[in-house]
Amino acid sequence: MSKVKSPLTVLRLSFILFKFENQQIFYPFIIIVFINLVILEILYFSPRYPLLVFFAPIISRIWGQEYLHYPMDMMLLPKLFYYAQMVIYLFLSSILSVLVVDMVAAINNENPVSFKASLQKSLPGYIYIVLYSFLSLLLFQVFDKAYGLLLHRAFKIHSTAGTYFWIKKFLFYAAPYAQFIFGIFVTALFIYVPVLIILEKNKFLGALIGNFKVLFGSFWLTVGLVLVPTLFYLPLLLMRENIGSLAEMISPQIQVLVIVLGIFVTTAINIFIVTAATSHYLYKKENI
Amino acid sequence: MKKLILVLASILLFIYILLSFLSFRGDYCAERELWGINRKLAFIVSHQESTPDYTINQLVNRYRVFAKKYNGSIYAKRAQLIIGGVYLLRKNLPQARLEYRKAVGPDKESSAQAELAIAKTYELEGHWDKALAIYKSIIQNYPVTDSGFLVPMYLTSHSVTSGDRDQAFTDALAFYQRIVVKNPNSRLEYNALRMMAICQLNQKDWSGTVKTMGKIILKYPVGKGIQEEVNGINLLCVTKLHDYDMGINIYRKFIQKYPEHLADGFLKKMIKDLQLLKNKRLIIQSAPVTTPIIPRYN
Repeated sequence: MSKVKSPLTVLRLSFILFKFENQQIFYPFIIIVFINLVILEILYFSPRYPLLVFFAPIISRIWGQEYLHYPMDMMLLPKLFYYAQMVIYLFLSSILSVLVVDMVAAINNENPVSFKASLQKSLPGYIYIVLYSFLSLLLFQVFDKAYGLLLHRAFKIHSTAGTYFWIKKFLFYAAPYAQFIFGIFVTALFIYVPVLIILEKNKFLGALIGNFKVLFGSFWLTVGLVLVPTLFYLPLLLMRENIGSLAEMISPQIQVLVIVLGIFVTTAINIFIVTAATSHYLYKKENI
Repeated sequence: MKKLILVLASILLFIYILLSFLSFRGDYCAERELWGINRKLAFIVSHQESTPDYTINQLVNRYRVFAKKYNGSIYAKRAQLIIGGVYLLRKNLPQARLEYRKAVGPDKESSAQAELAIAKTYELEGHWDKALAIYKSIIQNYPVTDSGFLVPMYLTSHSVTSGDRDQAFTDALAFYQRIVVKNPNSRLEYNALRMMAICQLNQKDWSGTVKTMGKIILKYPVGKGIQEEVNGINLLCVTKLHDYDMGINIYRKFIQKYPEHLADGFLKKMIKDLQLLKNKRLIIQSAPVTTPIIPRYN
């Protein structure tokens, strides 16, 4: 590997790995997208017969009867999918996306890329990967709750002008972007954990300590590795922020399109970030 | 890789087709289709002046096709009601009536709505006698539908002389009393009790009103209703009945029945205040009694 100077160089080198000869490197992406789409299909049809039989009691009890009817069901769909996605991420997507770690190492060692072989090698670390995913999710939730409390406090500001008014306005408008930036930092903070679990066969705590050792001295480069691909999510974030007016203008079913786009974009971003982090880790290891 | 993508895409497509097929022409599909047509109608209604007849006829045709497609379903009846509404909007009242009549069927809710709309067209034409006959038949045939439930109260606002008005309130009160007897422990009973209180208030039956309001909070200690009823009880006990014990007894019963209720503190304060007024033997007559809210079908 050539000398790494900036996140862009690492990203460029990682991008080169995704070529036809290494086509099995695409398998995790394809499978994650497939699983997400199946779940989305099920949730999309949940207010209709025959799935209604199972979903109606749950939806009407938690959110109310009106969410079983069009177009209110479309308003609920992103929320339902978000909950389902958390479960998928925790138990399936997490392990599938870190398969790329082993694949990148195989390419680096000039070995053939095999989805099956990578899966067999990665499975012993499954529980640690789940723990790592759980930790990331937990941090997101804690941040969400903390920001929620902040918004709750801001809501009590009655000023219609002046500093407090602007603080309130800023906090409300910045909410999704604060989440976005926090997400980047959390991902960057633990990005080498799965790499160490898969490549060095570390246990969770060992991988966590090792992660900070790798991160030491290359924190901002790692943030850059996460930030640049994640920027591709911004257009979607804007769409999600304006989903109400989009649904009004076009159709409530635009929600489905936004979710589908989200599945493709976030899966690609996640896999690409893991690839870039693995490349950087291998480079660092080889150059110590 | 191509094979994998093809297999997975086929599975996705199969699931989609299967679930679409199983739910084909179901309630959800009807609901979605009707929503689409209604959206167009909403646009036309907001641009009524500039919409040519041709466009409106086209929309009516879409509703007709829909009603035919989902014939027998509740959505077909709803579409029929909307067609009637479109004619009402165009002030073609005889045609509107014809369309509304088609919406009368086994479903009581849409039938009551259709009958109500027919009565409304007669009212607009100035045939109050015909309208009244239909309103009475709605009370008779669809008493526990959303539309039928409010008709007796609606009739009270249409009485010309005070004698008629008293009679209308007496009829309405009897109607809601019957609902209460026939539907114990239900939302219907709660709503009927509230209507009864309005009727009694209009009849200046202060004691009856307080008793009904007391019954409401003792049986349904939920929501904003408590605050409203307590305000009513206080007002009537203090300014009309000058009987503080009536209110105090209701609040004591409430606290005894629901010892952990959120309103307990507030009611204890009310008891204290009423007790104070009672001890001082104050007679307050100046506070106005709340004007009743009477629903209108406009």
